Amino acid sequence: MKLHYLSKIKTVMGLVFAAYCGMLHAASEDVQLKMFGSDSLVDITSAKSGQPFMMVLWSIDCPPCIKELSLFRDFQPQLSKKNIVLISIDGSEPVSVIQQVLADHQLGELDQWIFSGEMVERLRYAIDPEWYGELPRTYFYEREGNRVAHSGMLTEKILTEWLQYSESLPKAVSK
Amino acid sequence: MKYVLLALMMFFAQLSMAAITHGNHGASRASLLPSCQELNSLPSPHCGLVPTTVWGKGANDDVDVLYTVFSQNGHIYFTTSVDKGQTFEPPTVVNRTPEAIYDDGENRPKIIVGEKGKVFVSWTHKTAGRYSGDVRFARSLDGGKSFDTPITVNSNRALISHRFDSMSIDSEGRLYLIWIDKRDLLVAKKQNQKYRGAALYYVVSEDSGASFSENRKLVDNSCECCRIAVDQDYQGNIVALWRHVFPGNIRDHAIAYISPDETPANSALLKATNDDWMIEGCPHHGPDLSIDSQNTAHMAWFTQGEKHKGLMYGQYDLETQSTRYEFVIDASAAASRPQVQVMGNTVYLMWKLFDGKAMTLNIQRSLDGGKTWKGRESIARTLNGSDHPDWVTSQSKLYAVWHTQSEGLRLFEIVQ
Repeated sequence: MKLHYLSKIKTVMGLVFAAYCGMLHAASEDVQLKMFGSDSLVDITSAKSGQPFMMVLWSIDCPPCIKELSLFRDFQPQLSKKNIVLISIDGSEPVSVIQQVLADHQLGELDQWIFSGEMVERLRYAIDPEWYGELPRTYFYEREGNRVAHSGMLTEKILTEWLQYSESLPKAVSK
Repeated sequence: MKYVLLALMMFFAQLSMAAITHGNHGASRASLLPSCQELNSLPSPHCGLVPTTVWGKGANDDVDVLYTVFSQNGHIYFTTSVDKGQTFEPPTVVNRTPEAIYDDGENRPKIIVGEKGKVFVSWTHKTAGRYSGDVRFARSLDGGKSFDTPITVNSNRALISHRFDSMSIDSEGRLYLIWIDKRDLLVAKKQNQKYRGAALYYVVSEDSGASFSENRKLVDNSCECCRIAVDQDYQGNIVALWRHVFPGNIRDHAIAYISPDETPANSALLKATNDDWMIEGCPHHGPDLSIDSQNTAHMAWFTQGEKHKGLMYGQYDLETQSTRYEFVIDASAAASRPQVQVMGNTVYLMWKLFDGKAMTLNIQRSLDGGKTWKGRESIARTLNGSDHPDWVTSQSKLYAVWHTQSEGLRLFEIVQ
């Protein structure tokens, strides 16, 4: 009985929390976008402390990228600041537009970046000299910075398999 | 507890390592020239965005004039230079009422200088919603001193894409506007039917832009967001080259004549490049086209196909309807925006290449009509943002034109 009561409280609290999160997500100005410069990649990888994560390049001008954001929304419970970084290459768009798209897809709580005022080609080169700029583009970082690049939309299958695989990797020692 | 602390530390470390922005632009493509930072500075091709230039005759037909249109603060401006772009006249505004304008490299204002002081200008107005736009046109009958009120050319006014306008004039003086249009996609969606890509629509004017034909469909299934290349063939007829969506989502290029007369849609399409590039998405990287006196279309384009990767050059023989000499200009990931120009038997290629430090502008030439190519040379570089490069020709003269954030609009003499 007591257990049942507790679980009810939990459910209610969960709903209140979900509603609260919903409110947070709806407020696009709360979506924090960090400026991605030519030296930011090192900041991102070092902040991840060698743990596996996905780095996703996207643009509002790329319809498959928007579809992919919907996929991330559906995977939301399994995604966090720890295991995914999103970088919008829309450096010349108003930040509010990017914030709104991210808020609409309930992705405002994730680690979000936007290309800075530096030359776009320099930023692309800093990320990967072999990248032609096609979108969406994903880098799967395994432990210790080894990464695999993927061009084109991620599928549910790829994402599920990566999350399972990355969970199975031995954890790096935190410094 | 340890993890909470760690998480907090990581959070603050992230806060401190990057500026967090709210409500402003992530970056600006605005000019970095000191002269453009003054509040009272006049609009200019250096300070504005995506200037497009052509040579023409001055009012008295005695001097070569560089005619330029560019986008700045919601206006398209027109100006001229008699000293190859060293100085420009105070600009004339083409659209007196400001409007949102697509002014990236693939979407730029177009200009044609006709006879007897006629100047034709087109651009794409950004309408509400993502990827939406209307094709706009305005003309001057007094050499650009004043422009008629702009008109919207696309008859379909849904808040969808009517964008990537291109403009050309044939040997009879007929004016053509062609653009990418999603009206058929909209209809298909409403009927729950599939539709590949967008369509190409065009209009023709027989009276120097005073009036236009009804909107005509050239083809279905063009790619959605790459510019359309247009040029006159050897008899002065209009040819278009564009990225198409062939069955299987193959985004290679198609070429077609645009007839001044009404012709059934999809009747003129020919496959011009063969890269087998299957991609879900649009590369925002349209082709370039230059047709010689033998009616050979010289083409430059970008692909990531199965057969070829990188910047490409190739020829399409409009007489035999066959492709030849497809070869890679530059396969590196840092190469972009290839342009081609034929002058007599010489073919010129130009493209951008980021060398790890700076963006460079590169030239290569072929003296035998595109069969063999000499070594490349780098003619300019810049450390900040740059527009697509372009050619400007005046009879036997050829210049490369490049607008960059740090240096403004520059002309480089290629053939004197």
